[in-house]
Amino acid sequence: MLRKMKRFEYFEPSTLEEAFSLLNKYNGKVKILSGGTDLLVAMKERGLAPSYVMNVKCIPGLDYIKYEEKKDLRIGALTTIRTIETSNVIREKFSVLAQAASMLGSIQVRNRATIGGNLCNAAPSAETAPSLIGLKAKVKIASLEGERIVPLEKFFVGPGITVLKKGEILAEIIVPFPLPHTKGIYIKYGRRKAMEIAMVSVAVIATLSVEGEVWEDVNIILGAVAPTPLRARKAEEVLQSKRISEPLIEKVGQLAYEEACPISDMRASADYRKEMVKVLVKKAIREISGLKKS
Amino acid sequence: MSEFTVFGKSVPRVDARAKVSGETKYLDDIKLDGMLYGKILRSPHPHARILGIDISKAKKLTGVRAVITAEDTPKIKFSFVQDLADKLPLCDKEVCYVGDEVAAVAADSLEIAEEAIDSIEVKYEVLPAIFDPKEAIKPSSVLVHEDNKKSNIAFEIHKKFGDVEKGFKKSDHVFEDEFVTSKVTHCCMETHGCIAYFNYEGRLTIYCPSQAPHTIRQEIARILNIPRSKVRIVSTPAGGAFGERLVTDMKQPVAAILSRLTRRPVKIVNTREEEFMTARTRYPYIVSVKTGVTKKGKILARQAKVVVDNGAYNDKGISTLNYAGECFLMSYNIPNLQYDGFGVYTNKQFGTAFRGFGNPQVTFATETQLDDIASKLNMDPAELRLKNVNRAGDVTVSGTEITNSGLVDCIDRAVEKSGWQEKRSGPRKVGENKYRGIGMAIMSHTGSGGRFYGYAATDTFLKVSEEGQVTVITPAPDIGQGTTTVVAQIVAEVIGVDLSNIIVINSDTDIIPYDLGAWGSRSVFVCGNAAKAAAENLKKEIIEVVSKMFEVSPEEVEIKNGEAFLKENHGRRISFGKVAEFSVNRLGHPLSGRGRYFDPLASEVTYYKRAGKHIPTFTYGCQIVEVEVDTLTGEIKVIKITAAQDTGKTVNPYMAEGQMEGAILQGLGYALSEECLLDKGRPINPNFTDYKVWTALDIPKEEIIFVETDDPLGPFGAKGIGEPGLVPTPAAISNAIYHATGIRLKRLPMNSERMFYTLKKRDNNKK
Repeated sequence: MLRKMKRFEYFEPSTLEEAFSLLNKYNGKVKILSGGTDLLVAMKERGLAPSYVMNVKCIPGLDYIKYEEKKDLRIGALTTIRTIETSNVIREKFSVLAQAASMLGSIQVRNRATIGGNLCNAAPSAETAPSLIGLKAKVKIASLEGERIVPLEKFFVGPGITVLKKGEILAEIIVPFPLPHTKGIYIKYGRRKAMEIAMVSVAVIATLSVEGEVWEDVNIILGAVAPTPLRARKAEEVLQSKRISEPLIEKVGQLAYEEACPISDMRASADYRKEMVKVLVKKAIREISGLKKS
Repeated sequence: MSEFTVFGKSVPRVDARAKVSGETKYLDDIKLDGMLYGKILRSPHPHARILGIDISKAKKLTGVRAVITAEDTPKIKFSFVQDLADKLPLCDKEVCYVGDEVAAVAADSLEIAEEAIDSIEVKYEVLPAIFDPKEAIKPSSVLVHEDNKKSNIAFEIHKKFGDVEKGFKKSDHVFEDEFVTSKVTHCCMETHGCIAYFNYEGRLTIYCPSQAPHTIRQEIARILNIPRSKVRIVSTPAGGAFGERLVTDMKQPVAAILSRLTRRPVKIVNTREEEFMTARTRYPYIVSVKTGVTKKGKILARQAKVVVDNGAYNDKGISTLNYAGECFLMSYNIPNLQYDGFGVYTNKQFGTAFRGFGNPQVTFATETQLDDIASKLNMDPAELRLKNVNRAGDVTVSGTEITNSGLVDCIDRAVEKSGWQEKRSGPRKVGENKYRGIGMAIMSHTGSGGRFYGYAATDTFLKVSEEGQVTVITPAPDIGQGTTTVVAQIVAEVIGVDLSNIIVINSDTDIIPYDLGAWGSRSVFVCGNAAKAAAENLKKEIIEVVSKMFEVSPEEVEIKNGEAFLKENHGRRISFGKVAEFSVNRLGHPLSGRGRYFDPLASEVTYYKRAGKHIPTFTYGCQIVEVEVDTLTGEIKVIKITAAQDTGKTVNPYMAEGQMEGAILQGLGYALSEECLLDKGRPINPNFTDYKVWTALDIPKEEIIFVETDDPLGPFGAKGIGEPGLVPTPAAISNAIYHATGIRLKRLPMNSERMFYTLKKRDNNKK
């Protein structure tokens, strides 16, 4: 048996405008329901008791994957994680995102959870965030005042906190078309194969030279090792425009280890998380470059 | 061709259809007229004195029907073992763990009940608390029960046979190790709950999932100070039990008191969080083992000292400690044995029975150490075990007669099926930083309950309708393990009727015979034997009726496949239904049967005496596990488990495989990932997100092998195998890890982080 939820008022707006006016009316007291796989767990297990809950899933037109060759990929905020995981275009052109999506919760959870919900919940371990940041995604934020576009990297402020202001809703995720020879990998490290929250996660997305030897654009994003998904900038810089080598990989691993600033909790100690960052970043780089450790 | 028609066959469970269709009503599905919802206020402190409780706000809330504190209870202390009674249904002066019951309400709805609970104000004086059993055992320690105990040692068990000191002196090598096991919980799919109703005649009915309804009846009567005859327990279908539903949960007397005050049925059900925080756990043990062996691998002496982390109150602590000692004494043929155990109070959620009952803890220690001994002696671990095991006909130094044993066959079959020889000597390095290893562990466990209560008997009654339907009235609780089907199979086999003609009643203490319940893998053995005796008694009556119908002597009649016929003339046959009809309408009496299982030795045995005679028959098993360790991360992947299990005779192969697979899964979680984590006595992972039970995707390949030994005491040769599957699993995994990496893990759970740091420490030492 789950805990009974405290009484709340429930809204089901059918347009974005209606949603905005509700958000403004109840001034920050509204929790947005866009799948419920985080919100309802918090309400039933952790005693979160919002006065108002607004289900945005009934707003039409926010559930889409639009792809334009050589331009970008646009994902409506209400697209389910399962749809992203199984989308042919995402699997082919943005496989690192499909890969991350396939690791969230279980199929049942992925059928309910939405990409917008996963990002706005802003967990340090949010499954889709590292890959999307690595792909240089931006988010379109809408409100009565209009729209603004924010790089996803700047979207997260702290655990459960984003740059969304009162009256704003995340409407769309825009992923630029990657340069040729871009490769990505997402590694989730947990104790179980499903229904797991990462102890550590790592996304590495890199654009390689035509010969595949020089790393021209490198993105290393770490999950669950800081208050928000973290770009390991020093590690990225070391690889920039370099020819890959074992000593270099070791150095990148060490820098990522130093940049991670995790906490100790029931899932893992801070030190073990840092150690795993080192191991997994190196593993990800080796896999992308096709190097086997000698 | 099997000699049996129903017994030994993988017939579908009789309750399968109702369960998969959702028709089965579990406790929380039941709503009685006028039912109220109860809720318990629990202590937020691991140790505190209650200075005052203000319930005035709660009482004023609309919809609140009763608010109670210790003042409204008889204040009779309770424990499963009466001599160790230490727990009140609602705390009076002192709370001893986070979750201890302080007050309770009954209200028209759960929401109101929760609001009322939140409005109760309790003034506490926080007291120092102690969490580490090794600290708590010291005479200087803070006391867990400040008000009424002089020491934190709750109980002791000592068993001694031969002279271990002499044995160690004679030994060529003596090994000493300490092993630590963790706090894990049952994780039943259905959380704990009950509905209690005191009717106007003062009779109390409690609906709850239960493994031992008569025990619960007795305990409730004791706590409420009313005669047992005034208490009726109705067991509802259990969504898991594994030992958690054996002893009275304080919700039951609390709901009963709330019902007595309100004259309404009162339901109390745990949330999952409450379940994790207050439902009782497996006892964590610290086991020190000392073993002396000759150069050739003969064990001459073995000594164990066990410290049990009892938690805040007594429950099954002494019983598990005693039982684990019995298994320790008989697992190998050793001339000198000593076992000393201490139960130590700590300010934590307390323990209870859990599948294996102490045996997994001690077996983890002894079987891991034995593997180490094999490696030091440069012997094959299987060979070392075979050199020392008991065989049928042996009598242990503690006096246990080994009536029947499939252990040697279990080892041989597991060795053969797992590819042991080849994998032991094969390459360990299988890839970049990946090492494989294979390890084994064996176990002995009761297959027949025990004589601990000084009582081990039960009855079964059978009645036959006028058209031939057989009703079996048995006390065998079905807690998901399938005893309803097992009992039906045994009865059907004896009297030769189809399973569809059998109805089993096993849930109401007003109807079922007195019994001790489903524990110690005893139901197949005890209730199965009683059912078989009852069916044989009925069969005799049927044959008499048929002999009158056919005007022949009873010896000439046979019954099979729902028909009676003459042995010499199969043409003369008649259906079972017609026989029943003839009996009622022509002879003027119905058909019925009764049977009893009675163990005369039981009355001579109690917890404290006759060690070695506690268990009528044992079951044995050997598990061989293959693992792969990633030395970069410390990840331990189980590749395959081969489990050979002595079943006596397998009653229902599919169900027996289910029991083994389920138990092994619990064993894997116990070994590698599960743990109730506390921070200064406060549970920090009371949910399935962070308490890591394995999912279907994590389960490795399992190969289950049944070794049939045809037990002379079991019904059709069968023994119980509800528990054993998880007993050897953690040790087998630890031993496989050693084979893969040379690292010996002695602490559960053996998770990746622990493995990583142990590897790191070794590599640093090498440098």
